[in-house]
Amino acid sequence: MDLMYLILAGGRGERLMPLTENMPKPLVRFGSGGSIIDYTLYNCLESNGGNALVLTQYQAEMVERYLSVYWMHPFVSGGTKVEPLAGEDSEKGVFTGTADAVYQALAGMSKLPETVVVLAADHVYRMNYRYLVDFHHSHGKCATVGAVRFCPSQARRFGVMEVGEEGLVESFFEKPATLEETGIEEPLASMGIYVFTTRKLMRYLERNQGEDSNDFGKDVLPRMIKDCEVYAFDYRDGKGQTPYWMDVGDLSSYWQAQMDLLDIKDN
Amino acid sequence: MPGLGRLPFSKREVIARLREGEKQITRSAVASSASIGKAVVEHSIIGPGTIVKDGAVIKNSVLLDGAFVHRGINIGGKVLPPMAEIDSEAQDSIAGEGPACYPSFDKPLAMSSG
Repeated sequence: MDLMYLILAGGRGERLMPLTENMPKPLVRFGSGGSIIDYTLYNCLESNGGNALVLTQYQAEMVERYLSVYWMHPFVSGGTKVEPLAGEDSEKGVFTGTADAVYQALAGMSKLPETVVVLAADHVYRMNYRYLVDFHHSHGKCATVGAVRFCPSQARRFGVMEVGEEGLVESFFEKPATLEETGIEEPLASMGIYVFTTRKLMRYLERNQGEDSNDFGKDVLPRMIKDCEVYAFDYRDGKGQTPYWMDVGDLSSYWQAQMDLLDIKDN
Repeated sequence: MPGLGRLPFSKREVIARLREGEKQITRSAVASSASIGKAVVEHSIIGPGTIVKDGAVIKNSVLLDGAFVHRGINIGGKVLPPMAEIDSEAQDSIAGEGPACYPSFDKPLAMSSG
């Protein structure tokens, strides 16, 4: 499979201050021994689909060193590799947003992978991305968004989607104040992880270059949805339940996820 | 590779120890390099290099690397940043109610000089 993981790990992590005062968000401790980014890297390794490129910016050297010390060997052992790409080493010398980071990473490649999986480095969950990628290839459109069911009162924390029977995303609201204002009866929340057919993605990203805002959720995804190019992958376990997933980008959810971790009773 | 044995959904993460010596550690994950005195640690995550002195009570909290909790201090529902030092004066700045109290950093924590 010609696939690459792109992990967005360059954010400043202001909502996690003061934990991110001297440390990039992906490296903030989680559990008594690991870091937040371990979950995403572990998922990539377990899914065994392709190489991973970690896009860094804030305190990029620390992330690079962390990858080198802890993760490069396991990836190589599994027949793949993980590498960092810092914003300052990109063509523009800086990433101006999540979509721009992905664009510059891809534009700098001599040969584009057929499929890219774009992942956040501040989510706590276990997922085999192969199912997500298989679903993406089954519909053949530009993008697939990983999605979960959520508590309606939490709508303001998520990108909220209305999804048709076959999984086509019909509308998208970025962090609505209330679920009522969206008018969606059975909403799904975007997990902030995406699968793209690279060739089609590049067309959207090129169109967005030069814009002031260069973010997937705000700028790129809404255009794709308008073009009926986005499907949602309703993430469920074998029992049809939504598995554990938490964006730990702010202090409350970071604390909550650690408390949840202690309550896990079984493997 | 860090974390593989410490991911959620792994039994190994939660170290449940009841009355080990004179400390009480329950439903908590404690790094092996943490130093805990005759203290109560309940439903908490204690990072590497953390020091918890005698008489302290830590509940529903996350203590990151190198945090130092002085004697007799009570901490509930908080996240302590790396190298935070909590003595009786600093405790006032993180006062809050139990498990429902999310971390608040409105007031600066006392930080160790080291």
